[in-house]
Amino acid sequence: MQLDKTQNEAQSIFEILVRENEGMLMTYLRAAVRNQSVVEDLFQETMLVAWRRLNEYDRSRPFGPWVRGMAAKLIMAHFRKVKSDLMIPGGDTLEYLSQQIEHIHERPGDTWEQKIAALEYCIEALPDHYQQTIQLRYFKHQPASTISEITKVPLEAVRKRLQRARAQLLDCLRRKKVVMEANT
Amino acid sequence: MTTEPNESETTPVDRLINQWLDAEPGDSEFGESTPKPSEPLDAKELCHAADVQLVHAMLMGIAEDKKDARQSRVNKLMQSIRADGFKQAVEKPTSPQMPRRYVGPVIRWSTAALIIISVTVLLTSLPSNKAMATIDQMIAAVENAGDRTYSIVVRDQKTGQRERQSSGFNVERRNRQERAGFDGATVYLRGRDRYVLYRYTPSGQTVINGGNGQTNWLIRPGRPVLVSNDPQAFRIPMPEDLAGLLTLDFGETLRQIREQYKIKYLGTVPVDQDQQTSWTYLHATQQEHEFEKPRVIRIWAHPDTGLLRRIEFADIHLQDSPGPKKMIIDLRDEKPLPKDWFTHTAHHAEDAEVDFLSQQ
Repeated sequence: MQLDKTQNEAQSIFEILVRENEGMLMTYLRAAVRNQSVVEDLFQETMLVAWRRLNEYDRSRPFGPWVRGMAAKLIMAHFRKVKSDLMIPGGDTLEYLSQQIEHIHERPGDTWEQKIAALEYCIEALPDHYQQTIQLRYFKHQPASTISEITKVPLEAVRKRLQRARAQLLDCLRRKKVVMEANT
Repeated sequence: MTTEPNESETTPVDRLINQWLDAEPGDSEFGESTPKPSEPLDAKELCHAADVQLVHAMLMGIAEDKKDARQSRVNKLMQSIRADGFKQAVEKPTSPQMPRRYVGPVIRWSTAALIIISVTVLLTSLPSNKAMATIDQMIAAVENAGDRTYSIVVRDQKTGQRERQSSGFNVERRNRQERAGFDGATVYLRGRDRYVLYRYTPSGQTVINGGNGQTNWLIRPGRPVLVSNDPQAFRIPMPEDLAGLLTLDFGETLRQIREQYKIKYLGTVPVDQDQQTSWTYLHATQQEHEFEKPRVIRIWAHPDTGLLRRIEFADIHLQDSPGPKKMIIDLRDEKPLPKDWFTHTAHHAEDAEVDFLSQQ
């Protein structure tokens, strides 16, 4: 297939946008959808739709909210088919998540990882037993039942630790102004 | 088995989030339908749930943070876009074009390839460019530096208590041959291969290791001074977590970190003891999350010269000392040291017994 120069340049520019927004969009999708293979599919689908509609994109506006808006529609369409993947129903929650993510996106830092670097400090600040549980759950990808076997802590207590560890991380991220306090 | 106290603290919204985030296939709550709260959630609860989900998503993101996964995700997308080919959004010019054969296909393809290569090189290097340039500058600065004096502090990661002040540490040592620790140690450096390390036992006696690039030596209380030409002699017993990573050749240490860690440049910040200067700050995290290495290393360097100001290793484990520790190595002085400072005679009495060991 012979592609013309304009098309090649457009693809290259779009690839820059994808790389710049990959971390942000994946966070948004992961926060909304439980099934990780669905998250990957939705990422591909969202960005492909964005590519096809690139001529509708208002370049005077930020790319992030535009692409999250498309992602939200695809998420809702997915939820209509597979209800078990939905945590809190409704577009309002997705809009709230989108606002939180835009707040993070506006933080200083060249990359998404730099914008959320405070999370690593917050993990370090956790008490040891919470830190270990978070390490096993997220960094070693172990389910709660396996963590219970490894740590010899009852399953319900492991779930409690995960809940409290995440709550402490949220408090820490709020103190560091990474996550906004909700205005309710 | 241990139990977790205060089970009653769990609110309905917390239970709901737990079900969603941590339930596994086979659990009763991992059902086909969405977990339902017993009562409708109010706006505040919905926001709290969304915030916890966001934390969960951020954790998954940093845990995944491997170049390969992200690269393959973007590559897959770009393949789909290329396959999508002519459906893409950019409108093609509708005006008549010159026949393609006159445009010069070689030039066209070369230009396109050049753009793609340039963009790819730019994209793969952009996020880490500053961090890599900074650490390279630091390595060069170490190799060209004059005399430096660094202090070493070891603290409990959780309580912040100094290792030497830990009563358990001292009691454990009392009835054994005392071992010198790193907390409170001082290291003197010149160039890449000259060093003197002062360490102290729990009862306050001094153990000194040194080397001048040709001979290594060891001075211990009440024992003969040992001197050897063997470059491996009297190696300093680094904590297991730092083996192969931390040496007194800080240039080599920085090289190892450069190779083994993902490094982020986080701007310039003051350090505790020096609020006047904004030091260049790097944050290094494990690429593969190996438990036996420090998970996080923080590095501060002079913003202009790149000279290492402070390096901090988090989550290290010391022999016979419970719990994770933090080791902090801090630049204390850059004053020139006496010319003979890196020879053993500068550190013991003239009449001390000296054993010269032959290399095996």
